[in-house]
Amino acid sequence: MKKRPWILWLVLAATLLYVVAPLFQHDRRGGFEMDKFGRVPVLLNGRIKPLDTVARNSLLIIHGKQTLASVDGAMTPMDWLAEVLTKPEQADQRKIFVIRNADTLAALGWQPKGEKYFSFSEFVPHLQEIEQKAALAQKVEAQLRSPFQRDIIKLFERLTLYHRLSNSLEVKGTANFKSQIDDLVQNIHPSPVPMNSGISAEALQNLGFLAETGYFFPIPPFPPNDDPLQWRKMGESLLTFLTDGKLHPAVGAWATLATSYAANDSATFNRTLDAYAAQLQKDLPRRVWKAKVEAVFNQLQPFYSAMVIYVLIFILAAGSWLVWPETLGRYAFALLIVTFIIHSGGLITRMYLEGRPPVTNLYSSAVFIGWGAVLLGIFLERFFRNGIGSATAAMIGFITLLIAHHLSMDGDTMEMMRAVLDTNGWLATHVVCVTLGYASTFLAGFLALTYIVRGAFTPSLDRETARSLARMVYGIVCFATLFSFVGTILGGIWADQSWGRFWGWDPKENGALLIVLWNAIILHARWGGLVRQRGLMVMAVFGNVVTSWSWFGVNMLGIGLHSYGFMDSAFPWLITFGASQLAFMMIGMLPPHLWRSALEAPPAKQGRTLVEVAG
Amino acid sequence: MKSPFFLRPPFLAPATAAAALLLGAGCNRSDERITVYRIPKETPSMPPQAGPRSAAPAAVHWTAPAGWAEQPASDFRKGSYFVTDADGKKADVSVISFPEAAGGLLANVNRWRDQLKLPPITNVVEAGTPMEVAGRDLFFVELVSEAPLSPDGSKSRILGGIFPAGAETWFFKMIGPDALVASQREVFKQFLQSVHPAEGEAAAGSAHPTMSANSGGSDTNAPTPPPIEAAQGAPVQYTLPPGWQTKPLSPMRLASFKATAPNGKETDISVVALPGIAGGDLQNVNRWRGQVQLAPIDEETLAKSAEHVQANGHDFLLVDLVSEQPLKGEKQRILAAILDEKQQSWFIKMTGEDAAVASQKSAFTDFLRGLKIP
Amino acid sequence: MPEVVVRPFPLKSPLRVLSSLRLTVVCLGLGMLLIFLGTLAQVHLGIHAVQARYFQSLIIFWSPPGASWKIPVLPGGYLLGTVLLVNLIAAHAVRFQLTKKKIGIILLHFGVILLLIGQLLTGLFARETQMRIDEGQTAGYSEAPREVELAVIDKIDPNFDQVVAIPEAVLTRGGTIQNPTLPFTLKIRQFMSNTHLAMRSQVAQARPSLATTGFGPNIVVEEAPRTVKDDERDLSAAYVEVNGVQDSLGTWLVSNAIPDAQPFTINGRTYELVMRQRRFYKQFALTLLDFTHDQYAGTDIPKNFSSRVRLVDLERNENREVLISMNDPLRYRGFTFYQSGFDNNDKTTILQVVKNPAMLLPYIACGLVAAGLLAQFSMHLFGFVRKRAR
Repeated sequence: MKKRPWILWLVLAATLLYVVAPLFQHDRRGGFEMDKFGRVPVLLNGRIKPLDTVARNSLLIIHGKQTLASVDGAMTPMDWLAEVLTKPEQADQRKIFVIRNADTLAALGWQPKGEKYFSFSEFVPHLQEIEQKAALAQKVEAQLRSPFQRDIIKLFERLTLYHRLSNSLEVKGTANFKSQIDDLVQNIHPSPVPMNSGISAEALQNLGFLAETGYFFPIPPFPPNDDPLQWRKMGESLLTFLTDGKLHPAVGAWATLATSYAANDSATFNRTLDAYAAQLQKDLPRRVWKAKVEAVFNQLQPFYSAMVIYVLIFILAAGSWLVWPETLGRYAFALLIVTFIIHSGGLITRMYLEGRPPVTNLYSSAVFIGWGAVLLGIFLERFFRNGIGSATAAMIGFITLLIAHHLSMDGDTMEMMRAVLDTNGWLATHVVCVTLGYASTFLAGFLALTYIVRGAFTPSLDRETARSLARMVYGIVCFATLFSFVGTILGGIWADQSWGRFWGWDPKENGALLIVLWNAIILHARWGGLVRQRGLMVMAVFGNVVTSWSWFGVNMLGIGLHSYGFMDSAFPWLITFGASQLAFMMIGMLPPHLWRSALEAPPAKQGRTLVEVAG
Repeated sequence: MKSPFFLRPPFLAPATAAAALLLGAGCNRSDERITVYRIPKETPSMPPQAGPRSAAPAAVHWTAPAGWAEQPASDFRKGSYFVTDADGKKADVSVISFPEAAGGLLANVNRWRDQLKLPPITNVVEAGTPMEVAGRDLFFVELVSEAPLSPDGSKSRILGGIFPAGAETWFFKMIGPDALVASQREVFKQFLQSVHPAEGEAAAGSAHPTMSANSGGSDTNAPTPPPIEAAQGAPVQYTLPPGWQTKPLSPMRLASFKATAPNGKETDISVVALPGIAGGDLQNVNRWRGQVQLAPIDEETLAKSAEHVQANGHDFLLVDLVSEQPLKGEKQRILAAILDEKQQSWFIKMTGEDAAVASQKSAFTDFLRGLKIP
Repeated sequence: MPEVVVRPFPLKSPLRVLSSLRLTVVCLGLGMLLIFLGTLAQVHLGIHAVQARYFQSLIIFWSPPGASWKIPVLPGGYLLGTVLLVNLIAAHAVRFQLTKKKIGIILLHFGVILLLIGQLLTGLFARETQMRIDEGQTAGYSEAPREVELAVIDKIDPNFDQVVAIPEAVLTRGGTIQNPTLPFTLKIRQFMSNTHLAMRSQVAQARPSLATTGFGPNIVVEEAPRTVKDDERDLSAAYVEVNGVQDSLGTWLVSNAIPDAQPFTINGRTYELVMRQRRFYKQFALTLLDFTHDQYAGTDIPKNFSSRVRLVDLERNENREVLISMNDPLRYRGFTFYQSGFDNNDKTTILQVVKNPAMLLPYIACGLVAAGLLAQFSMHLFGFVRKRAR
């Protein structure tokens, strides 16, 4: 194949187009400016975020997906949210709640093999029952719960979330919220005791209910105040109004938005939205800008795009071992760099939005491990130019982003940091080092997998490639040792700084120490001549098992200081991954004549001491 | 949270014996020695001396169980104790009293529910169980939060007793971490059983004090004032002037009408009742003046400018306000009457276009005359 | 890859084994196994038992459920650590060469040795205690959260209490305790590390109590296994008999679950008996002025805790306000006060008080190891890049 540079440019251009395409899809269902609505900032879980994020995360938690199929075409999260907020009679009929657990279905008296999507209205007769069952399950310690107990708790949480969402702006089912607010404003006599303000007991109870139940905080502080603590729920803002007579203009805006959306009055809706957006722009320009950035970030989904392109890169790079090594290798490398930029862009945007170093929770660690492995892979490919760096990096990039994608199902991935973790300095050093340690140990392990798979199943592993793979693995293991060791010790120092204990045998600490020890063992075994090329590879594959244990396994123990994120569904996957790695190690240890690639082992040197080798 | 044992040398710790030799330590660990020292006497407020204590200054007496430590009573609290468990977790016991019925049982149970972030209930039967104490009904309440509210991450629990004694209602409450408070249930019940009105006062009060309106204070700790009876109570009785039509009631209004004036414009009439002297006449008048963009006036001017309408023995203060500029495209007028009576303020208000309201003025005064204040 | 030069080994075989790389690899491998099993065991045993059994032991024994015999299955943390340290020192001792090429390796291993020694010193000399202070109150001592003491308090002086504090280790041994400052002896008739207590009136058919006086006779004590949970505390108890010159004054029950001091009089002088968490008095005192606990808007996720305290040290003429917050401790006279928890509706602060003379060693060790690793690997990397560039 001849060199045709324009094809490469064409491929790159197509890739970029794929990445930015979502920006050009405008959502104007029924003439409502939903994109714009999605950019309105609200406060939820301590963070000011666009309404779009609230919509996406809520739908993800409740429905398990970010889009919703309906008879009149796919609904975006914002369409759905607007409906939940203002047209509960329609929203309640949408079959959005997934139940996959047969016991849960049976407990509700539904056919275990029947429909797995249910609407809120179908749950209404069972709500009390579900609450009781969930309360019972709650009493069992988290790590001892059965799958049914976990599922019923989750179901209850999803129903609660839906209930709270639908009571966020107005009491669910309110006919004309705007006129109620107007009535209130007209007739109220502000009094330090809300009850004396002239509001009826029933209306006051409604406001209390709104304040209690509402999910997000739509009402910003009175300008020029910009304190996140001063954001209010709809009900809270109205209750304050009863006492001081100061009505925040946003209350009226939200009420009009709700009422006009319910009445299908897109003209009023869009006009109110424009006015409200302009007001916010004036009062809180910084918040509005951030919310906009986040909404665009949501729309672009850079990690999802990167994940898809990594698959393409892997195919190209692996293909280069069979045909057109030059051309395909170059394409793969060029694409890898472009995708790395996209991946980095996503990472940096998250850092900007959170105001934090890159790794703050399990989700971001997955994104960062992929990023680190790809970065190292780019260096390897730059030096060796044999497609191995590209292929391995792309594989890890894909897998980690896939894991991240699944981790994001739990809701907002940009949570607030608990007090004990709230130190950017340590997050930036200890956590980043340890995570780079994970990334490089994985990279070494996947390079070794490439060696074993190509060597055992294809004749394509020639001695030169094998030697370069061995160098790569060795180099990356050195790198992994450095980062995991320094990271682990920094963790100890952080612990010493924070609560005066350098080492506490916490499971996560132990996990990190295991990685350090395993990498040290690989290096010492290699230096001592205890293992040769293939032995090195087999050991490096075991590094995958150790790292996945440390990364995920210890979190499943549900104990210790680090066990903030508890997940249950990943366990079978972890076991499968561990077993597959052990299988690859077995293959790696098969006698050489059973391998399809003929490799001659270099002569062994044995019986040396630490210091002799160290030189 | 953490323990010193974490610090023991890990597998890294080399031969203890060798190290002990090196360092000359290890065999005479301070863990093993009896120590003798002198310390200044502890402040008297600290020692949690147990034993029966009775709270003398109150009109109700009780006996605190052994194991409860007294803390200084404040102005607000008639009695104050705490209970500690082995982990040092604390539950707080308070005794407070309020004059009269203090808002009724439900309001007070809901106040406690609110402290545990529980939704209010509407049925007293769900709230708790009555128990007989000193020949009266004491209402026993037990509540657990759904969310972990205690500082240690556990749920919070309230044990409470509401005890009407004479002209006062007494509130006994224990609040603290779920497990600790639950373990104190029987103790707390015994504590409630020990409650009895002081001699001489017991006879004075009736077991079921009458409910009466309480204007309430701004203290958020105070029991919720009673709901406004008028707002929920019997509807007002009135004679409908010709041409007026009733409108659906809104949450704010006791009665609501519309009247169509000869010029075809509609006016809106509302009847609202508020407890207490809601903000005073002047404040309300000035608020209405604000609604038609008139400058506020002072008490003297109000006294001079206001009319009075006498009807059925009631004295209505009547104000008639017209906007100077057109608002919403036309001049607006507010015709309103205020009546302060029976610890309530009544507001009868007609709003609308200037001429339309003016044409209804006589109908409005007729309406006032026909109004029967419940 | 490092250059490998094989030289004939001049020393005898035991040293050869001790300094061999094989031993290093075996020890590290066993270490991994130990840590892995120790992590798993935490689920059921709790972190304290695991530390004692896995990491602070020479040999780990296993016995089948119900059996009385046990077999050694794995070297414990102490043994492995010692062998590793010896291996490390031996390897360097026999082959010490200060060359530019080896500087990284030497630095790195010296760092590891320091780390091991630092942890040893920490284990021997560090002490972690807790200080609880209510708002407005002053505390002059901290408490060991997992250790009790029996305090005998002489209250005769109007200004001072004289305290004889008998630590748990002595109570566990039992027997008769004598102290020159006390005109009587204490006989520990029974000590229980963890118990369940109940009121005698609520237990049907309870055994008679050993206690003859104080609150003891009214309480039924049942011994319980020590708690394995990190957030639970043992309720210890003991029966203590007070013997005067001639006769016994009676037997008292003491327990840290019941903080009431029990008085008795001997020779016209009143003493008090109380079992409590072991106290460590300081030469200074802290007064809690204010505790604050911030949460993120609209959540109950804690954002920050901090205690504003006044530090008063009469000896050193110190009197100042200090703010202790998460990740920002107070260091004073060898003690470090960390914000650890809070209680009592944000009215009580819990400070972790740590005294660790070896505190600096891990820092130095970390620096050495990092420098060593960096030097070593960058040597490799530059060598590699140079080779590729050629």
